[in-house]
Amino acid sequence: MRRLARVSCLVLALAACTDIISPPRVDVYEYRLFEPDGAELFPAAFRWPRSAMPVKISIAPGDALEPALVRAIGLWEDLFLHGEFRATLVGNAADADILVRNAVPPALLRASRRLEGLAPECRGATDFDPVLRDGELTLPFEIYVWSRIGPSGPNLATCYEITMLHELGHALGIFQHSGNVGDLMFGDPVRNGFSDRDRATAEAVYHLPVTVVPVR
Amino acid sequence: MRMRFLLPALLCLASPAGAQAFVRVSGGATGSTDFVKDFIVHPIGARQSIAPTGALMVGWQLPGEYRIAVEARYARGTWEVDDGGVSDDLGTLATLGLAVVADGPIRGALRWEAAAGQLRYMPEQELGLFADGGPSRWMLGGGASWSRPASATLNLVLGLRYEFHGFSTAALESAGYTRSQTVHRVGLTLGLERSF
Repeated sequence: MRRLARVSCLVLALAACTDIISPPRVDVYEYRLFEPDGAELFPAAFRWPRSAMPVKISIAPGDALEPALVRAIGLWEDLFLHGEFRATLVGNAADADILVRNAVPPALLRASRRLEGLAPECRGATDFDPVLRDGELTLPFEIYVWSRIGPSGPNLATCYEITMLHELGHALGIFQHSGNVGDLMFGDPVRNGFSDRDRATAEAVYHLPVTVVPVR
Repeated sequence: MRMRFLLPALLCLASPAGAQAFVRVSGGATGSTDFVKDFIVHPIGARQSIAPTGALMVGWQLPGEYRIAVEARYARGTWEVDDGGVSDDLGTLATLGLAVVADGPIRGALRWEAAAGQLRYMPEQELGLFADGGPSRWMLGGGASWSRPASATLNLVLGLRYEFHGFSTAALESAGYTRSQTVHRVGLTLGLERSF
């Protein structure tokens, strides 16, 4: 009986002292934007700080892109385990950190940057205005997603989903395209979700040091 | 709101016949260790904050001085994340514990208690590691209580409870996390108990 009590105590003590084990980390792809700064390149690393949560996103009510945007927000939120990114839709575009438009983007201002997604049925672009040497990025981001086959057509809804997910990835701080076709952030994306490299890269974006902070 | 009136009424209306059963209503606070300790470039920890706690226990006298009871214990805190030294609040995080409790005498008004049951996490926001909802986990615990008469029919009871459980969620498991994180919780409560 006494031995049973000792064994029980030992089992309880062992059970009371375990830590959860993280999965092995996989390689990340380059996500920083490099800008010439004299003879050197300045690496622009950006993420939304926790103080900015939830990030405010605006889209015209009833827009055909809205379902794809809502889905993309949910997927990016759930990619992170510790609430690193949260977003909410707002009605007033003037309050938005990210503006989403179902339109072809206008001509790019010289100071702005544009990252594009090139799916066959639709296209996407994300514009932003970094003043890299000052370490600032002026809000809002502007995401454009537009159809190349008219208002409806085969695979258009899926194209909207992939492209919105991809462009929102740029607005989260992944400022480069992956070179791997299996990643969502490949320049001509076909993956409608995240690869392990996408996950690892997003985690790196949200935990490695930043060089650029958002300003208004 | 209805419970605020129901529980005192239950205590006051209970008949003191035979002292075979008892009801205890308590309030206090619960502190918890991290339910996830992660490392992504730097350490990340997530825990339930110090949580105001309410408990209802209904029990019966056993032969000798031992008693057995069922207890519901609700603690309402927040989901706190420490991300490399930056703190974040991810909304309300409540826990509801349902346990079988046994207690017995130590000395005088001091009694030991042992508890086993289930603890359910109830996050306000189903995101991140709670994306698939809050988990229910088995828990074990023990503690002590000290009581003194507050009136002819009521006892004032001070309780200290330690309990532990292994934490994981479906979202953590699908992200490749294995084993579970042991969470230690300590609750301090003050309550009124009536035998009837």
